[in-house]
Amino acid sequence: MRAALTTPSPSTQPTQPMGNPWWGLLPTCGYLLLFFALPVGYLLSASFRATQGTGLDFAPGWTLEHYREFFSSASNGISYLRSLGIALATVATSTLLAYPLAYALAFVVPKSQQKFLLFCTVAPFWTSFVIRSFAWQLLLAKRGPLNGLLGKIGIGPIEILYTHAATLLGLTAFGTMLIALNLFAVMESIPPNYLDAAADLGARRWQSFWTVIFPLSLPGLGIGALLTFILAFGDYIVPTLLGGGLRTVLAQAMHGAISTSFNVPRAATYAAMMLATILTVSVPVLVLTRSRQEVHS
Amino acid sequence: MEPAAAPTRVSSNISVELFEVSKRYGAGQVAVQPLSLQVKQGEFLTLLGPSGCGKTTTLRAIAGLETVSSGRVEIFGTDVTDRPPYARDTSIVFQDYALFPHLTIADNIGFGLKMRGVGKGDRRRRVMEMLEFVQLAHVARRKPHQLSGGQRQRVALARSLVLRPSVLLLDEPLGALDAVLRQQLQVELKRIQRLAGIAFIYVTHDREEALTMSDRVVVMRDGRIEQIGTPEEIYNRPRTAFVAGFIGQCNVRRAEVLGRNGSIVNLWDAEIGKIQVRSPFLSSAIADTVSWALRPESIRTGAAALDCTNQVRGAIAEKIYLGSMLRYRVELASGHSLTVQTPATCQFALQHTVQLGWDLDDGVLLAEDVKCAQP
Repeated sequence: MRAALTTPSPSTQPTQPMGNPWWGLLPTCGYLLLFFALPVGYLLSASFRATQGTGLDFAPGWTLEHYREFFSSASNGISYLRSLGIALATVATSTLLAYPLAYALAFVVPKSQQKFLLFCTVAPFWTSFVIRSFAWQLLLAKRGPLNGLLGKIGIGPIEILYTHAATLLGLTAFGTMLIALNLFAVMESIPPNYLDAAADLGARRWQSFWTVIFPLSLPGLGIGALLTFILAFGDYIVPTLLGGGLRTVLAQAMHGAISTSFNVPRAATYAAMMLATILTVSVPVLVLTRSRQEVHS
Repeated sequence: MEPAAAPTRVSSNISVELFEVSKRYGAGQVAVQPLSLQVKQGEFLTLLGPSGCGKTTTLRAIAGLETVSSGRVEIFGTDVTDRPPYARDTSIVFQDYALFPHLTIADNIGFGLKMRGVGKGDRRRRVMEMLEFVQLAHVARRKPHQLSGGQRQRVALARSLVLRPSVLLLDEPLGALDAVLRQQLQVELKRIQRLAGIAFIYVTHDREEALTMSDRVVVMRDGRIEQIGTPEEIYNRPRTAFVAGFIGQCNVRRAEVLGRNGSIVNLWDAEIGKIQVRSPFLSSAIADTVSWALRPESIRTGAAALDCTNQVRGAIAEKIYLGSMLRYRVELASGHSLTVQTPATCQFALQHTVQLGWDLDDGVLLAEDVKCAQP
C-alpha cells in the first residue's frame, strides 16, 4: 500500500501495454492462413498428386501427370481458350456498354437523381445469380419474348439459348454494372474544373471525353475490367444455364473432373491453371492502375 | 425570331462589354443582379469583392462556362451570349490551375492548340516559345504534380496565353500561393499583361492585389457593382461605406448637413463638431444625415494637426504595432473613437491626449443613398 502511494499514479502517466506490436496482426494473419493460404496450398499440392481407389484418395508420391495431360489434350486446350475468349469478350462488350452508362450517371444526370439511378443500376443484381440466369433462359428461349420480338420484325427465331452468345450476354449484364460502378467512382472524382478548362481551351464534348475523361478514368476501367475478367473466366453457372453443357468451358471441365471422373487432382490442375491465368492478367493491370493513381493524387 | 442585330460598334477599343447581365439559380437565388460593364482593350480590370458577391459568376459568364439568365455579353462588338466556351475568344486561368494531371507540361500548354487543329510542328514551336516566355522550358516533359505552386500557376497562364485570346480571365490565380510568391507573381502578371497587350479581367477578394495590379477596379457586393474606378479613386474617393471599409481600414461616421459653400460641404458630427469636406456632389438637403469616411492614415497628429481644417482631441485608448506603422484607437470626449494610423516613429503613450487633424480633401462624403452611377 505504502509503496503504491509513493510511486506516481499510473493514471496520471498512461503507458501503453507495450508488449509485441505484432500481436495486432494476429487476427488478419489467422484469417488469411485459414481461408486463403491453406485452401490454395491444398489445391496446388493436390494438383501434383495421383488418384487412388475411388479417386478421392491420393496415391503416395508426387507427379506432373495432370499437367502433362492438360497440355497434351486438345479438348482441355479448347475449354481453356473458350473460357479465355468468353472472359475477354465479356470485358470488351461490358466496357463498351459501361462507358456511356457511367458517363451519363456522372456528367449528364442531374445530381438530385444520381443516387436513385445508381440504385437502379445495382438493384437487379441483388437477386441471386442463379435466378437471374434462369430469367435470361426464359427471355432467350426459342419461344421466349426476345425471339417473339425478332419474329415480329422478320428476323428469326434464332438459336440464342445454349450458345456462347447467351453466355456472353449473361456475363455482360453483370460485367457492365461492375465496370460502370468503377468508372462512375473515378469519373465522379474528376474535378469539374478540368472539364471547364478543356471546354475553355476549345474542346467540344467528345474531345473532352477522349482527352480528359477517358485517360483519367483508366484506373477505374482497370479495376472493373479485372473483376469482370476474373468473374467471367471462372464462372460455372452462366455457361451451364445459358451456354448449355456441350461446348464446355474450363469451369465445366473442372466440375466434370470431380462429378464424373472423381479425379480431384485433375480438377485441382484446372484450378491451378485458372489461378495462374488470373494472376498473369491481374499483376500488370494492378501495377499500371496503381502507378496512375499515384500520379493523380 | 432573332432580335434585331445590335448596332455594329465602331469603337474597337472595347474588349468585353456586358449589358444588363444577370444570373439566377433556381427560384429567387440571385448570384448576379443585372450589371453592365465595359472592359477596354489592353486594360487590367479587377473584379473585387467578398466571397459570394458574384465576381466569379460574372467572370464565368464572360468565359461561357455559365449561362446568363438575362442580358448580353459582347466581345469586340460580337454578341457571344449563346456561344459555348470553345467558340469564344477568351481563356480562363483557374484558382486551382486545373492542369491536366495525365499530360506533360508541354502537352498541357499545347492542349488548346491541338483542339483548334493547329498542326504538330507549329504546335511544338508555339509551345516552346510559350515555355521560354514563362521561363519553364526545363520542365516541359514533367507532369503537373512534379511542379511547385508558382510554376503550375505560370503553366496555367501559358496554356491560356498560347491561344492568343483577346481577353484573359483570371479567377483568383494567386489565391493558393504564399505571400512572398504572390507579390512576385503580381509584378510578373502585370508585366505579362503589358507584353500581351490584351485585356485581363482579374477576380480577387484581396484588396492589395486589386490595388497593385489594376488599371481599374470594380468593387462588387451581393451581385451588384458598388463602384468602378482607378485604384486611387476607389481608395481615396470611395462612394459607399462598404467600398471604404472593404478597400482598407476606414472611419465611417454619420453627420448632419449644415450647408454647402461651393464644393465645400459643412457637416455637423455629433462627436467631433463642425467639419468640412470637399465633395463634388451632394444630393442631400440641409439637415439630412449623411455618411462620411476618413482614412486612418489621413489623420495627422500633434503639431501637424494644428494647421488642419478639421480638428478634434482625444485620448489614446489602444495601440497596435504594424511594423512600419502604428495604429491607435483614439477615444473622443463622447466615448466614440477614431482609428488613426501613424508612422511607427510616432509614439504615444496610452491615455495620452493627442491633437488630431485632417484637411478638406481627406474626408470623403459617401453617396450611400445615391444610386451608384458609372463614372
